[in-house]
Amino acid sequence: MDLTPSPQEETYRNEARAWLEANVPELEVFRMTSAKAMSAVGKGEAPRPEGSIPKLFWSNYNQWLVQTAQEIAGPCGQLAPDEFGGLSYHYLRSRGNSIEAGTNEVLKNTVASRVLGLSKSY
Amino acid sequence: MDFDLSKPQKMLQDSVKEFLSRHCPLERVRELMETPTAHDPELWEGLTDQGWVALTLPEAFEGLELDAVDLAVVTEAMGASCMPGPFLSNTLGAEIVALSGNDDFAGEVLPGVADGETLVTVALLEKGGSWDTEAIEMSISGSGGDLSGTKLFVPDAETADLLWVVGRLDGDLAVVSVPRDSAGLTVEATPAMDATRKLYKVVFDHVAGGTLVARGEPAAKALHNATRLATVAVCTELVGGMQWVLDTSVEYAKTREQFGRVIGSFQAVQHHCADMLYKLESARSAAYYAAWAVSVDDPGADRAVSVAKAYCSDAAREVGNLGIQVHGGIGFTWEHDLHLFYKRAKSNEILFGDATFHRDRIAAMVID
Repeated sequence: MDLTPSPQEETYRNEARAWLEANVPELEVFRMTSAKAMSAVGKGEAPRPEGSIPKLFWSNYNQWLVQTAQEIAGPCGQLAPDEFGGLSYHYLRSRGNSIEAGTNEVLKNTVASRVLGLSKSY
Repeated sequence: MDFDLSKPQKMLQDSVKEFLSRHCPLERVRELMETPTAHDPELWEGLTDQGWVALTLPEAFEGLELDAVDLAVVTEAMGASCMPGPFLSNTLGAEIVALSGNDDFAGEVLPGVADGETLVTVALLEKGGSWDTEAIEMSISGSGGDLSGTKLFVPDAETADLLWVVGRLDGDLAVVSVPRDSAGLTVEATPAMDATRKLYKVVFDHVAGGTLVARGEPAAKALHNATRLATVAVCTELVGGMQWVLDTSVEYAKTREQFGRVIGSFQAVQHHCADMLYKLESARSAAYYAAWAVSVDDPGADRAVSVAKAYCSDAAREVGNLGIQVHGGIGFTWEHDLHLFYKRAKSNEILFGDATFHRDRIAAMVID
């Protein structure tokens, strides 16, 4: 399809720049948090409750990442999931991130009670 | 000050809701979105019979001559039903002509729009994808008699009988009416996430026989004011959609059990529902204030509309996100209706400028 995303306005360029500035450190921090969790498992230790932290980080990060990418795409953000490099597919798919493999709510409860020692709740 | 709807507006609200629950239930929405145009001539006839297709058009052109708040009431109910089809694009097109000052042309086409025989749409966006009319480049020559170029994301171009093409005539902004079946005009579907409202790429290759609707200041003013009204309609559509998502999520939270109790008893779920409510009610206030401001042509109307569109665009997406989260896995399925509203919220978020676009406009109005 012959579509150019090119939202020309300065505003979108600024937004794209701010997005990249925020994205790089977020991604690096995620890499380190995940590496730390993996190293414990690598030594043959059982996964600890704090293993929930990278999952929470990733769900939020990926949803923010894809949503921002879609905003920058302007009108092309509304194209069908198999158009425009699959951007809409990733946008819709990312809503599952905070549900699959333990919802954010359940993971936060786990961290609160088992890592921080707060009383168990639902 | 009275912020409530008037008695006739409440009656209008009830009749639109009742009409749509009978003629446009979600099963019908799903059927229509699988069709090439998502247009239902029978539904359109019903909307026409009620006068809602020509709600804001002047009585001189067979309209009901009601105002932006009345339109808001109607479009909120349409949003709550995720009503498919060309209502918004047709309303925008008809308003441009009604506001153009070209009463000869308005008298020629608007009665046909009002009785449902003629459908119109507006071809605005170009390659850059900007909603700002300053960015329009398409060249019109021969007083509208020769059009060449490409328009993108044109809503409902396949169902429209007439297209209003926005372009430049000797540098002036101009609107030209072109029949969809003109020689040299090709319409190609643009597959979009929201299948309930179809988008098209329209290519013009020396299309002749167009009628000049307006040019220069009258064209710019008609486009601006008609778009402002249509933007209010989009905001209230988003409000209607958010209400559906909230109601459906709260109902689910009251019945779905997990860990031996209903999930609505968990504080995390309750907070999500409360967040949805406060975003919805804030969006509603902003949207209806904008509708009122437009209805009286308040000096602050442009700002009110941009505030409403910036807020409603973001709020609808966030309410959708929370609605899916409260539902959990079932909210992520094709079978559940949540995705219909989620995708509609996305196309409405983009329509007439997203939050970034309108925040930029607000900054220009307030600071510059």
